[in-house]
Amino acid sequence: MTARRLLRRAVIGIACLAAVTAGLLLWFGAWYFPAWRLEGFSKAQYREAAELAARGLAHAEGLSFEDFDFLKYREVTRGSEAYVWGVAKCRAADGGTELAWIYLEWSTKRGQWLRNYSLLLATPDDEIYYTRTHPGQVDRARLAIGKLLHQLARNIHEVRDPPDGR
Amino acid sequence: MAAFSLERVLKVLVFAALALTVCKGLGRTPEYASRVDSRRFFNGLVNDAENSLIMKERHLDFGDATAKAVRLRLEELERMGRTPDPDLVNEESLRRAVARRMAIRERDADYVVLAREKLDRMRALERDGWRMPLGLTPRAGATSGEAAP
Repeated sequence: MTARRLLRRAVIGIACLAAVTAGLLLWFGAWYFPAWRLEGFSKAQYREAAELAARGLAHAEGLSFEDFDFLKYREVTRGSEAYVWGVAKCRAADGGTELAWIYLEWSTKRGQWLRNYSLLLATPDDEIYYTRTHPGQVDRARLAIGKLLHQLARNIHEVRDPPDGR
Repeated sequence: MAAFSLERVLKVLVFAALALTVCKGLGRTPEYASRVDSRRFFNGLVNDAENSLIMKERHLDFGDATAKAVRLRLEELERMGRTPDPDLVNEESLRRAVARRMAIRERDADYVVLAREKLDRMRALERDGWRMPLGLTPRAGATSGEAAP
């Protein structure tokens, strides 16, 4: 009877732990990280905000940010939406060049820039390289899940080890 | 007295909810909104079209950036033998990726044109003070018995 009760408590405990972990990851990915360290930039300081995001992403990927290939700012005339996107040119340790897509959106609700879909371009998990048979179904799933997990891990890494070391 | 019986109160509440639903629903129809609150109505239309245009431009840019990155990988593979994964990223797959990107680009560029046309259309509606017609209008081209070209 006691062993059964113990098992039951353990199952409930693990379920609670899993729920809290999932909640923390959701909070981190959807609320905390998009805004992290972008609080100080106004709508007009989009270039500074994008550069901070690009430097952080490059550092977390083990690259060094060099410059923007291009950076575009767009806003609507009716309403408050504003967007900035561009391509950051980064240098890899082996001397090669990597291009990173940087995309921020202005949040009226939070009054600041928020990080959006940002990633390294033309990495092996890009579907642009796939053919009908290569990679196979299992490898496709593995690459797709790995792409998402890599972005999450990279964001966590960026917060734990920021580029300027602060 | 049965004037405030539970049943009657519930009936009144249900009726009030029904009336509120009808009012709210009516407020969302273009027939109502374009007449009663036309400024807000057109602001919504133009804002939506503006956001669409920005999104389509961004998608086009993302495709172009990917094409640029793929070309860069091809160039680095030829020049310094650099590839992140020889199984997936090799000369054959890179050349195919460039061709594929260029094909998709045609469609993405067309979407930008369509979005800009839509924005122009919405602005023209506002300029002309357009109002959603109230009557039932016959479907365009359905009046004559001729076969459509």
